[in-house]
Amino acid sequence: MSLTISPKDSELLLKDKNILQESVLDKYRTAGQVTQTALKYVTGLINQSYHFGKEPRLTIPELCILGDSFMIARLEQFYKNKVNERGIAFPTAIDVDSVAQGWSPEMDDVENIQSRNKNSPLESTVTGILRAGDLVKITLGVHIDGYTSQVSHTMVIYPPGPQPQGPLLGGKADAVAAGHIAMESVVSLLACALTPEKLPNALNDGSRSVQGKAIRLVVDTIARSYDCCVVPGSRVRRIRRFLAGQNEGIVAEREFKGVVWTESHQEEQLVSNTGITDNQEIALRTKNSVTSETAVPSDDFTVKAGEVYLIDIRMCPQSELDKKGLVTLQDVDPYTGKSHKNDLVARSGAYVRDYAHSYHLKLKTARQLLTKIDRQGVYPFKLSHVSQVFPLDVNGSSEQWASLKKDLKSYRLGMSEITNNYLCVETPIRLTKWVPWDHLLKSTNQNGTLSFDATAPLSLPGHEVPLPKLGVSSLKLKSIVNSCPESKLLPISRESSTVLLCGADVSSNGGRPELLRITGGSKTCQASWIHSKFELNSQDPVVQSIFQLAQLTEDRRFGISIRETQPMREH
Amino acid sequence: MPSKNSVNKPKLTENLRHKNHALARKRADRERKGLINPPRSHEDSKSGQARSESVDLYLKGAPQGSAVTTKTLSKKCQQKIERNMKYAEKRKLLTDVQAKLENEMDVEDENQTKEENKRSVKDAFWSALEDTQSSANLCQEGQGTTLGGPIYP
Repeated sequence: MSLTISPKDSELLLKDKNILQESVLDKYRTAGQVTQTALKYVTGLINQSYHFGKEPRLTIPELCILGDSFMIARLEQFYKNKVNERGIAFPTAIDVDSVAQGWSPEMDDVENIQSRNKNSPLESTVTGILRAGDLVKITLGVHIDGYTSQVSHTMVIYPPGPQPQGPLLGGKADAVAAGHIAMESVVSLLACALTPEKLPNALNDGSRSVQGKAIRLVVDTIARSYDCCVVPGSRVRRIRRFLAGQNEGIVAEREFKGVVWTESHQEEQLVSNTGITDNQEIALRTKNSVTSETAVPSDDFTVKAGEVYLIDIRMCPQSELDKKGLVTLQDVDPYTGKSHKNDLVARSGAYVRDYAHSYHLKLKTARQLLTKIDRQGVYPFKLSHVSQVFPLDVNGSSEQWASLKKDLKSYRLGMSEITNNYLCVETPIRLTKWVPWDHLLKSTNQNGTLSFDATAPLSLPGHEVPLPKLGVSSLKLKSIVNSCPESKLLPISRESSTVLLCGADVSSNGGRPELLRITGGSKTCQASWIHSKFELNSQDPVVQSIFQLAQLTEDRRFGISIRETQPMREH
Repeated sequence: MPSKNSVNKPKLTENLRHKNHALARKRADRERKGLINPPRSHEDSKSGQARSESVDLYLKGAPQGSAVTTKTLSKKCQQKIERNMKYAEKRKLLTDVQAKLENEMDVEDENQTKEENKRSVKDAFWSALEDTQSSANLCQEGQGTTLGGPIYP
């Protein structure tokens, strides 16, 4: 189903509103500033609670709601009555170790989560209390008038003390290093799109422009050097007003531009050296070009000035595994009593409104809730965002927590009717799982790719079949992951950042084109202290060009110029 | 007598009787002509094929046993049939040659290709799994990589 919009309107909404001019730039910059400050705030809270030992220690659900409250409170100061919509673009999610995305539980879910996950291997996630050695991924985002900024950062929890005793070692350190270096390299590679003459030779295919293939090459090379795997769901994509990837898989986006990593790319990488022909790949591509070519992500695109990109990279270490395997994502569901082993049973905290559906709700609470939800726009939201007591105060009384829980009780009732009628879709919680390849190869697959998983959320168009060469459908993969005794949870690191490619006309750098990094960067997303035993192999031509990129960013005069949005001073 | 469209006329019974009668007549006619025999399911049936009395006469000769017949074959018609059969023979030879050429081009059976393709994909996976050399480009000899420092960021 597609909405019909007049060409004049779509021209205005998709083209004119996305031209980077001073007013748009300012909205992006302010959104980025709020996001940066919120990230700093959340990392500060975690440091206070877990490193400096301030009591009481804040749990994950509390940190999430405080992060959201902070964003809303900060946004109040900007663009009041000047724009129709502003708010949280991504509710604060705090994913620990193997949780890949979406862990932002509500306050009233704490007891449920703890009672249903008695023997779960994800102890920090279940109890909500972080432990030393955890990889904590903080993800949050803010939008002003649809201009979205998002950030993710991986933080390491050390034993409490005035300063860390030593660096983190092992596989988790590899993942953090790979994620951090990949992020910095991709940012400088995107900056090269503004000054293509400075693009290193190994990343240039003769067209003198930054291609999608070059982005993939850089990230894959770094991942390989650190014995890591790029986790499916990672992406480097162009974002536009209100189209910031928050509805990927729910709404097929026309003119999708970006590099995505899926299971099929791991499959391709594995067999790329053995020289088999990729008939299926060709078949897939030709079929798509007939139907909706532009909604299907492919690497054949050129990064251009005036575009905004979201870089979202997740890495998972493989050095501690004795076999080659596939890294995939497993959705968490709220149902107990399943026959297979459950690592986590939980319901997701965030929802996305699906405006394509309409239904007349029967319950009064549901109707009231939907009215409130409709004010939140197209971005994900949590039920606590519509509560009366929101935004909460970090130093406030304990009564606010009690009244929040009371509000949530009636919202839950209304929300069940809303989700049952598909007016809202849950944003899934996903775990990173590893399955050995030999298990996949030995399993029988009678139905091939014909079996269809109607419940699979968030698969991009053209990537519905996770393993096209082997002919394994997502339903089959799901059952293999559940049934395989060797499948494992893997820790991952995640870095994401929003960058603006400002041409010479809007740049604040005296007419020189520059890349404006509105989230992430050296002020908020410094890497934690880690040491990996691997390093980049300087003999490799791609690695050499990665080093060249790093040098170019440091060279103020002849290099590429990157400007970072700083967090606000004191909260 | 009431007309065909008269109100008083018993339409259904009359019309049905008339229709059945007509159909029966046609069927009997075809049977008499030998068109129903052999039945369509029979392998000798010529249903759906081009039918010619003269060709039948040329190939099978005059029908035996019946005293009087209207089926005849003129001398001219016979010559024409002979000539046409000569050309048909030549055409057949030509198509045989073409078919032979095509067969030589190694057109494989589709099912067989699919099966083989699947097998080669799996073989490729197995060989990739057994290959342990490809992970050898990891660089571990140096100092490794250290990020950050002894502060909480």
